[in-house]
Amino acid sequence: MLSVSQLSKSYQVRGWRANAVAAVENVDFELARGGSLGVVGESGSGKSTLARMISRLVDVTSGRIVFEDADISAISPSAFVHRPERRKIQHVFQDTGENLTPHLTARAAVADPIRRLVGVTDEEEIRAKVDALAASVALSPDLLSRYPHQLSGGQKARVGIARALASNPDLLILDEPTAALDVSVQAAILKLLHRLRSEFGLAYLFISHDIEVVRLMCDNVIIMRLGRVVEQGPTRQIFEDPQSDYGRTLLAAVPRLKAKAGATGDAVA
Amino acid sequence: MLDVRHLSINFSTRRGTVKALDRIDLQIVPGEIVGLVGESGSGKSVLSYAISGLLDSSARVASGEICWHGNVIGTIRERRATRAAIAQIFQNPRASLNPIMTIRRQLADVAGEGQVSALLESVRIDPSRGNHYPFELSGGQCQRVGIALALGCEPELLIADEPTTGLDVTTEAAIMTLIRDLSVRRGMATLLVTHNLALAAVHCDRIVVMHAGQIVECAPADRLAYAPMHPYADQLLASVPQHSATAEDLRTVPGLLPDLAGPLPPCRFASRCSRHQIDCDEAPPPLVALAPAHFVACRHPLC
Amino acid sequence: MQLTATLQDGLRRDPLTAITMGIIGFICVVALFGPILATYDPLATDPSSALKPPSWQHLCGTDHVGRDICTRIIYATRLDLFIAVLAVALALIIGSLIGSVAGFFGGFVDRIAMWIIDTIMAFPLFLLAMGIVAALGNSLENIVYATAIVNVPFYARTVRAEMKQRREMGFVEAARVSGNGPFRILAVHLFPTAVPQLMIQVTLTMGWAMLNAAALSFIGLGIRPPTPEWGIMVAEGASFIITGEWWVALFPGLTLVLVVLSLNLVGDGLRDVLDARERR
Repeated sequence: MLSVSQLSKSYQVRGWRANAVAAVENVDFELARGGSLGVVGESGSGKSTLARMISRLVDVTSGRIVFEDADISAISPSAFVHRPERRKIQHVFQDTGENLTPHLTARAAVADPIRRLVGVTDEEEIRAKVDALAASVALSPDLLSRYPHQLSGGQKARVGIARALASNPDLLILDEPTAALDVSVQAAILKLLHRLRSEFGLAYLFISHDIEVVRLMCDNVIIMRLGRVVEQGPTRQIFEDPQSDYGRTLLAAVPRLKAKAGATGDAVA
Repeated sequence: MLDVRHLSINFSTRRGTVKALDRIDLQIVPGEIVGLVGESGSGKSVLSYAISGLLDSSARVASGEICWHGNVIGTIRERRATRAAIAQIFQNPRASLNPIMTIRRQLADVAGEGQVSALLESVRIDPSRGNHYPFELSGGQCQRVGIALALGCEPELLIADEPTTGLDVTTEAAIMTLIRDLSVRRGMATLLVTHNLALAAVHCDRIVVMHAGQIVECAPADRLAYAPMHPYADQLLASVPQHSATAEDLRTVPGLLPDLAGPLPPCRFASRCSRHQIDCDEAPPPLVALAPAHFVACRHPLC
Repeated sequence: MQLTATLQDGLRRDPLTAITMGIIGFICVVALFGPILATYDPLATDPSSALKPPSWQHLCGTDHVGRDICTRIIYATRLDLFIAVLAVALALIIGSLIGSVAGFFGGFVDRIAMWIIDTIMAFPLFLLAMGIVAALGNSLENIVYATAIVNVPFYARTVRAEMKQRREMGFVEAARVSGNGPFRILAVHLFPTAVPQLMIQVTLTMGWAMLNAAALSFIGLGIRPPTPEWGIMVAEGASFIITGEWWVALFPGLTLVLVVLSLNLVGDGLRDVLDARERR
């Protein structure tokens, strides 16, 4: 369904000479319909830039993104808004608390893509759809009339997910959707995302710095460092036997619950 | 060394009185590393600020006290001589450094010009970087400077408030190792405040779990990681991704944190607890030792 | 809405702002219902009762042709308020448009817009007003335009700053992903976030707009006697101060001061309430 080849993004740094900083370099991967791919990396690895390129929020410098047999990499972000692919590729943003418009209620936020992407104009129909979406993300309906600052982190995350599902997409790009949440709220959101994937037949591109979260949510994973793919493959395989040095370092650095610092830890089975 | 006795702290706010801490008992002896674990709203930050004496003026000590080497110390912002022996490092390393001063100057302010190089070396920063400004350093390096600033006061107790949240996992590992090394070498006690149970389990000797302003369990780190006895601690452990094989296995803590400004039952976990029984509502559960050095505040713990 | 809730809350805690808002409210009422409250005809001259000091019959005394000053002040309030509100509204619309487009799109558009704004800011009001009057004629309309043009930069810059600050935020990208084109993002998602700051700017510059209108008519531009207007009344009354008839100039002057002061205090109070919320 999604095939990415030699995807690269570089930024021009203003100066006398043309200085280009490569944020993402020659990334290749494939994602099947209904599959899940995790992208793991630390800050500066380029994973967020990669996510935004695939969502067509950012220009591609070189390489191809083929989605359902159409090359969408050449379409600019402003043109992509009007393409039919826009409603099929949706994005759940990092939960920094600023990804909901502050003066719009939760209901208005979820209704926005229904109006814009699905083209529904009947108010009753929109209302019904929003209610249905709220139910699928286990968001209690009386929360829909609240403003973002009146919602908790977990509730805002659910609104963001409902908004992304509104256009009935095939591919969902999730950029650190649980990074700022408490561990028990994160668990609830992860379970929700897991359930939604099978319920709606979605494919996930899951970006996270937390390799354990990716292990739970994704069948395959790519590890990125400084813009390049360092290792990729099935999750289980990478966790049991990382091939790259960086992969090994990353796995070893994660604090393991049932081992003291200094001992090598394996994923708890 | 540090003895928090039956400390209860309230905040007066527009919504009413927020009962942020309820009868906290905590002791820290020199040289040990204690993890204070809890989610947001658990009161762990309030407790750490109370110990540092950094609480806002809207805070009221409803009962109890904090004793330092036997002397009672105040919790609200006030000058006290004992403050020098307790240092704190904060969550956002950049925010706790002055952006317009070089790090050399900031360290010199705290420890004197002569100590700057030694301090930078002890946190493994090349002393030649002393003339750089905070914006020229990475997040991890800023946090190291924060630690150096804290160490410059020669503290007996270091309070680390979420020191690695927001840092990469490899940087986090390095910072935590640094804190441990310094603790051991200087005989300094550390209070690590975090919401990351795994982090606390690996780096601390002892873990204290808080929920809604109450201490629910207090045990040696490996005991807590293997066999927690309080229902909340158990469920918290089960919601950590590491603990599950698949997403379906993940457990969540049901219900929501109680509103700390409203009426509260004696055990604040009661409404979310699957083991709740009538006698739980009669009086607050006392913190009892169910195993050596393993304290639980629950009338029906898992055993 | 969250804005009104914050305002109510803030006003409860800051009685000074609440009081000054009350004063403004009172003045608006006077402006709206003035003619009903006034007992005299503002233009009716009565030489026999000229220059009478304040009394129960004439609360503020009479001027040099026997007109009741109190009545004239009430009518003047209508006029000055009208001019100021109209000028500010005009400036608000034009300034917001320029500022939004400049702040959101940036680049070339931003440069051109800021060049225009900077040019306007270089003109002192009087020069601009005189220029317009010389070119287009000495009328009330032109004074409104002059005042409006001079105020455009304040609103443009405020809106531009707010747009620039927020255009990279998550919710803007989310709006793009939800299928909003740039103009819709600007209008629906971004511009409303600038409203609190704009409110503050409006109340702060409204006072200046009034002073400007009064000052222009003081020097004879725009409104001319016998139309009652604060500036004109002060100008007419100025010559009588020496001869001891202080009330002719004082009362209109005092009213002007009171209104402008109240507006400034409201502006400050609003800023304290709204800025505090933003900085949380």
